[in-house]
Amino acid sequence: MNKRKIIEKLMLGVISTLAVISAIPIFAIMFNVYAEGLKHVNLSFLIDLPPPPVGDRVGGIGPALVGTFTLVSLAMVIGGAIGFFTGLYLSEFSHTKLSQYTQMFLQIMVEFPTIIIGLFAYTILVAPIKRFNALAGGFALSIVIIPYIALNVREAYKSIPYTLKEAAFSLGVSAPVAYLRILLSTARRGVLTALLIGMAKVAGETAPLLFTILGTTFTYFGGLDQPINAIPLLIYNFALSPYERWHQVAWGAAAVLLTIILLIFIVSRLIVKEVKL
Amino acid sequence: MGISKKPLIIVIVAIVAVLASASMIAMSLIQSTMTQATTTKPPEISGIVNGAGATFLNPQMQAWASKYYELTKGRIQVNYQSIGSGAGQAKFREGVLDFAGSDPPLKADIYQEFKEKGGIIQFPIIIGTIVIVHNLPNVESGKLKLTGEIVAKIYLGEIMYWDDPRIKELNPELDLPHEKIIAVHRSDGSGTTRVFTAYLAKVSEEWKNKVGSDFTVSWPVDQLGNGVGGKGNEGVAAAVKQNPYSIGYVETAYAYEVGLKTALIRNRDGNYVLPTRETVESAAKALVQILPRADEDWSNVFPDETVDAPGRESYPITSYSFIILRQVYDDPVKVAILKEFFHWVLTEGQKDENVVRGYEPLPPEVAKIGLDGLELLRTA
Amino acid sequence: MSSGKIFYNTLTFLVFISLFIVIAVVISLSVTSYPIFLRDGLFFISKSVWNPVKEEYGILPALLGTLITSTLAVGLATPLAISLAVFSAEIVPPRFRALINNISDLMASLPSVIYGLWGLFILAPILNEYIMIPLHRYLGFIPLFSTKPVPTNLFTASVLLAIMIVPFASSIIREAYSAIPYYLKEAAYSIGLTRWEVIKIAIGYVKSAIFAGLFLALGRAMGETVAVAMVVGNIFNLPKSLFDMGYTIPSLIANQFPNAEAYNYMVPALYGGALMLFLIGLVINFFGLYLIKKVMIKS
Repeated sequence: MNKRKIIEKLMLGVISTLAVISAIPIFAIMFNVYAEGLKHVNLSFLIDLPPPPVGDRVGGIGPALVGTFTLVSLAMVIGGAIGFFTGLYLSEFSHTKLSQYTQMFLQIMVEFPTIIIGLFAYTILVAPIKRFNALAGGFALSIVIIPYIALNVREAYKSIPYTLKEAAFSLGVSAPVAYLRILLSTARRGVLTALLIGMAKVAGETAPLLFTILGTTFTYFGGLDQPINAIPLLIYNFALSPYERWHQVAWGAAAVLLTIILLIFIVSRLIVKEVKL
Repeated sequence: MGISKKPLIIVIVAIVAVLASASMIAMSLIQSTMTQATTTKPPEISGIVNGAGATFLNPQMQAWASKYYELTKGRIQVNYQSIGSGAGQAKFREGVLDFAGSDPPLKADIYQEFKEKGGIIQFPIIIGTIVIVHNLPNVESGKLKLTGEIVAKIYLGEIMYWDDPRIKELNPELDLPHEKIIAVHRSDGSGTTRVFTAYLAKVSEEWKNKVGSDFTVSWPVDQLGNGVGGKGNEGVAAAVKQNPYSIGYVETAYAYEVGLKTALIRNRDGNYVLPTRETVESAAKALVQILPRADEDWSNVFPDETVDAPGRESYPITSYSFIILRQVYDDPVKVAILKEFFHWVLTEGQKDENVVRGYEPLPPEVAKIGLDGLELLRTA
Repeated sequence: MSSGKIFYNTLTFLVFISLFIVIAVVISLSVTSYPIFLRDGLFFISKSVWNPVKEEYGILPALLGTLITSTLAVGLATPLAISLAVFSAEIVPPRFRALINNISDLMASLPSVIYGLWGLFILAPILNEYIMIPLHRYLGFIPLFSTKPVPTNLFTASVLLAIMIVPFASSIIREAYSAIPYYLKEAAYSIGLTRWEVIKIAIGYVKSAIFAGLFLALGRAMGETVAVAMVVGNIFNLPKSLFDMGYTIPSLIANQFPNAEAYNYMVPALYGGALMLFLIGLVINFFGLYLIKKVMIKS
């Protein structure tokens, strides 16, 4: 008995230590981003055009902010929907060949360097219309997001106890009702996390955007068939330049991006309460 | 278990709605400011041109574009993004860009292809310099003297220690340690490497035969385990900073902004020089005679003939950034905008107040190449 | 047609779209990379050379670099991700749970260039000073640690990757863990098991989610581009130790793509590298499926 208690204390200690270790870099980076970034952020920073590398104008990230909202919305609508239903299928019809192959391919797709997906979108949506455009970026991000959402959703549905699934169907409701109302309400936390993880992932992606949306300096939004900017793209370009002004804007942009996503996380998680089984 | 099906769907809808409406509001806000700008100047041409390419050129292009945007009150929007010289040229060739920015000019075969399809113009727009940097703890910035040949031998892996007699001979007053030289170079394909290796190939026959000059080369020093690759100028700068006894090459702006020690390099006339306004101008002026016209092929001139320029003052590793335009465009508005903007860049844009730290303006003789070239722009 | 049938058909259609997109990407990889395989055959993957001047490309070092960094990263991330998930679901007081989960998931949204810069300027020097140099000094006789370390190398890239993939693996594990029916745990406690013993049972219960999370993390590690490119050293040599500088396939693509189109065979070579990633992924997946089946049957 005593030995078991000691092992318990020891192992809980090990788990907590490892958890803390894995969280240290998270906090270190967040601390860096906020310490460097927040001092540059104010209302005009959110609205203004990006500044030239030297000169008086402090500037802001207006076009990039609008662009990221647009692109992430596109990715969530297209990729989110496909990903969610794919994940549902993978979980509930896991015995089919289609399910097995799709799951395998989606797992491999996570490995594709995302720049390749950007180039794919370039071939399909940029080259034919002879213009870089927002839709191509949204399409590329949708592709990036699908495996993350599908695989996470699959796990969320799979974690519903079998007895509950049986109970849901024994109510005599149709399949859509059973999956999308009863079971979804059970798996809602996991599904929400799947969507949030996917959203977070694409909100920070640079590589698929390089050859799809081009980026803009003066245009906030010119239509889905026109170039657009995005926060990660702006950070990428500015952080790697030698100029102090651009470094400041890059840090500020990172702080804004993190804050927006954190807010979406907190609000949506407050609304969707955890299910206790 | 409570069957509350709605929250998740509500949340998703809410998120999408918030995102969408936020972008709508911002859009309309901007649209109104833009229409304001256009209504005050009704008769003039207004619009956007899209260009992309060389990363090196990006800060200077942003400065010009911003200034011109302000001068014309938003009438002219020149959108330039850095995607790399090679990608810029390729996308321009595929017709998705209105102009390309590039460190090297078009290769000969691609120039020919364009020439047959309505013509091309390419002209220098600004001068950049590449500086040799080092991390010798006891040596101050601007004191170490090197020749191109010695730098080539370091990157070839033939000179491996700082106290090599060939380096000592040039620097009798310095106390050089018996430490291995770590040779830092760009790992990504870049115009900077193209110009740097063109310089090494020009001053060292051995480099020319063994390695050659390109965006990326196979570095002999890597095979000996004494090379370090850095992605981008900032990667090279960081590697030089983190590795004592290293040497590297970066665009000059990075050397100063990051605070790296620079080395003097011997020019063709035997003087040791750093990149300054005078030494760069001297090099540019020495080359005016050999530079082609804007509608000619530049590939055999730049950078292989333009590095190691003659002249007592001349700095040997200077680089031009090029703008590449088609001669014929479908849209007359684009022709007008491109003409107007680049005319301004080649005249007013070369004045001190419009040139960003780390770049050097074109001498008027060189700017004239572009100004003459712009005359060839026309509508189909 | 019943609503169930319609629903099933719609689902199947959407799944086909997912599958179709992946296959389309793979086809575009194959078509674009075809010239390099046609010219060099298997030498393309068995040689170590990257010389655009002569258009010679052999990507073996980058392949090895990818395998080394992603394996090591998943090895490092596995205990961390499981611990973080269990810690959040089991140990931490409930009112801090949401905070930890949000922050952990938030990490997925940091642009990888920020990870890269942090890795280059903060993580790399610290690792070099406190881990790599001591390891080399005292254990340098082991081939793994035999190279005199510089801050950016395969090891630094692996550690940075591990940091980046922990949130992905951890979120899947955590959600599955917190979905374990409460009565199961209660039953376990009621027969007098300690918390650790209950955790052990619970971890066994979510084994499939752990595999899923680690698979996702492995893929993520193999595909990461910008962050790795900034810390992996980017030297095209066959790695002999963990402290050698190297390349991964995605970092090679990130480094070379911006000027690749100026050459005839570089774009095919880079796409060929990505195609090799896909093939490695296939092998790993088959192997993984086999492994999972074995584990599942045992329990």
